[in-house]
Amino acid sequence: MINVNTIGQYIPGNSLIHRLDPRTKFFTLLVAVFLVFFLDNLVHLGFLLFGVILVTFLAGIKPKMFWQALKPVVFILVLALILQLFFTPGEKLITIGPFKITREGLINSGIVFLRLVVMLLSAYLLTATTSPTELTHGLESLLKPFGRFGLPYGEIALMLTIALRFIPTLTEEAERLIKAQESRGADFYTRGLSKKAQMMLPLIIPLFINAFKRADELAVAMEARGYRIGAPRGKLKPLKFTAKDYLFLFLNLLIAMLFVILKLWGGFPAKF
Amino acid sequence: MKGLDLRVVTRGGLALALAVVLSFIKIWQMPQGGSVTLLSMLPVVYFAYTEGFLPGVLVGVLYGLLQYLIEPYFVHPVQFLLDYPVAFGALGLAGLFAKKSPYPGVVLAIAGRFLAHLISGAVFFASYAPEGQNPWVYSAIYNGSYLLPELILTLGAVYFLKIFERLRKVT
Repeated sequence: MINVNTIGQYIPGNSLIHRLDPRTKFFTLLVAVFLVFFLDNLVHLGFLLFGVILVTFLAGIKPKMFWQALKPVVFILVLALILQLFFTPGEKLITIGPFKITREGLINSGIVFLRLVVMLLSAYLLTATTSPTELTHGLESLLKPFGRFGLPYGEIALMLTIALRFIPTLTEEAERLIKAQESRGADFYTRGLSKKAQMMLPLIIPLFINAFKRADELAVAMEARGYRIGAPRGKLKPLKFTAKDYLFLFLNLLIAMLFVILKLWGGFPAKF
Repeated sequence: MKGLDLRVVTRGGLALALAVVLSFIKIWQMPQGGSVTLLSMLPVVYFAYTEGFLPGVLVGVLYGLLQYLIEPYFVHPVQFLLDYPVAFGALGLAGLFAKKSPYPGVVLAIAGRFLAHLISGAVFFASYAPEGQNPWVYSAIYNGSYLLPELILTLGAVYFLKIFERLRKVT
């Protein structure tokens, strides 16, 4: 009934991409997002997709896995393609019944397709190669400069760490409660929505009460051990930029600049 | 919002964990993604009306980011912001007027989330569909069809949680 395997979509590994600093990967995603919307040429976007696929390959992610990532959006992808393909006015190429495919429609749907795929793949790459803990540390370190404006970045990181730590515990508890109720004759698989909702009440109340009781106990336990919010503290594995991070960041900027020049110059198949 | 109490932080953490766990329990799965879950908004909403508006917004935004980790759906930067941090951050609205009664805040919170998804649906279609289509109606029906049942379920659960807390105070 509960499926937690999907959390984080993290695929453990030891590839070059896995070993990059999470901040480097955040930045790379930003560059990719910028380029996706800056470029509007089929061939340029094709180059970009090639680059992203190259990184996917470097990360040791198999095509089957990113098909898994694409699956939930296939519907939207197909819808956007069809809308573009059949409803863009322009020079007629083929006519199928009442529909006509235009040259502009063909190019536009290609652009939409490439944009969506590059977008999804690059966002997927970040979560697939970075563990939730690393993501949290990366986020904390990126938010640190905003601490000056009153953003409680330490608290944010602590909350996320606690949440990630307790998701498996609470899942187990929920499963235990479901089994306990089922052994008393509850049927969680009935069809009616209102009946189902009634079934859920004896599940939700104990889960809630226990979770918040746990939170209060955790706060007391931490305070008893001298934990103070905002106090300077070290990390077991501090984030550190290494040579490969600098190299990767440099390559990012270089590629982004090349694309910007390519577009402004307008050359290299300008016809698309 | 400087200096949150440690108890508020741990409660926020557990509320997030609970929300994620509940979002895995789907009561009704929509054919094209989106689903009526077992009250996955309730922990955030409950946290917001017990701890206040700003902590509520913070936990909501974080829940949005965690939700993104579970079901990554990134097709446009504006769509991402609206569908995750903004939509779920809006759940913090449940912290408003919470002194008198939690219900108006809860309605406001889910209405806020609906609004964010509605705009995101329209932005997404505006940038990917050809001109001359009206995406607002489709977006409203689609998002309303799972948020309305969730709103009703959440209001019901808030009612029972309140009863339970009153009982606990008596005993």
